[in-house]
Amino acid sequence: MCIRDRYQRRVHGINKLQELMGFKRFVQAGRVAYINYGVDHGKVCVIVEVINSTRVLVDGPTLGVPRQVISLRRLALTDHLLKVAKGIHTKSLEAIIKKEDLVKKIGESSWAKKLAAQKRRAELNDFERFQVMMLKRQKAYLVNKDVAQASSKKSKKPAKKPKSGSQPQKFHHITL
Amino acid sequence: GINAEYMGIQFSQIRIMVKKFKWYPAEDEKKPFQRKSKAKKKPVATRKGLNPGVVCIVLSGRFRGKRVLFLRMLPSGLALVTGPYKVNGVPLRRMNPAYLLVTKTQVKPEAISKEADTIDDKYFAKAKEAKKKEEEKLFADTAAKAKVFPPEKKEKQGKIDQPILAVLDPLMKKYLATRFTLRNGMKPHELVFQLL
Repeated sequence: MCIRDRYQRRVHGINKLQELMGFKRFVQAGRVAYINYGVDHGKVCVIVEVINSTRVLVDGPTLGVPRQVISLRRLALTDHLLKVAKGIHTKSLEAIIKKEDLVKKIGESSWAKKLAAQKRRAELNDFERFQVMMLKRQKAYLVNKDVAQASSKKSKKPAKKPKSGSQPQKFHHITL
Repeated sequence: GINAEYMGIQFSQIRIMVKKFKWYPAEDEKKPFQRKSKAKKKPVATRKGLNPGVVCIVLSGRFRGKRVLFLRMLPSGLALVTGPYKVNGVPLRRMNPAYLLVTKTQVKPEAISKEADTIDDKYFAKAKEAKKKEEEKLFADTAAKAKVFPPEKKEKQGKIDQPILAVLDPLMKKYLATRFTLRNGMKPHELVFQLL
């Protein structure tokens, strides 16, 4: 920390310093994190205690993660932070997770939605992949059509917004 | 004969005990596999998911990459398959089921008419031509006979394909008409065709 930082810390408190640092997600008790690697890959957990610069104690009572020491390299920090004292017991953490409705909050995040989309994409079967390809082509056609229209009328009229509401043609699925 | 003797025996007296053949092949003849036990040949095990109306991807041969409809397993162990012909040019054809990639997509099984059950391996047997002598072959008019596809087979194709085409929607037809290819980013070992 340079002199200026120390001054900021003394005058405005730790939050200002953190703001100055530019980092927003800190490894701290209550930080919610995704596990990226290992047995619990893909699950969400809460940091309970910081051991050293590489390892943390982590717990996820209703999230399917047993209380364990895990390397920070295996974690991806999220924006969510629970107000939790360090070293909190599993039972108390469970109560807080339920109270905060953490599962729902995480599910609503774009991160979780992206992961769900990735998973769905990986599970697509051959026909579904074909359908996706057709829909992508249709979307591209509609977008390009509007772009071409907008660019051709540039000189005469102000640029039109591309039609965002146009829906691609829906196809019926073959059912078993 | 050789007028000699060996150990008191005349050569002329010696009888050969080994059977002589008039003709010996230059190379070892290959014999077809013959079961030593009397165990009967087992019927081909049905593959999981290979049901009538299922879309399969042909993996090798002339129609590799084509998506075809599986009709039934024939007693020879081969799979009877159709394009349908009007959609992708694959006729009623026998295929080795090992080279069919089974997908989850299935056309309504009711669309596979009972006509398919009437087709046997004999349907695909080659018509026997009369044996020609060597000289006849030399003088034969090579341009003469144009191979005509038997109209009965065309009719059969139509009978089987017609109910299927009635059930297929335009997207499905396009799907069957398109060949399967691997594109950038597609990892064959990660692609899902059936979630078993």
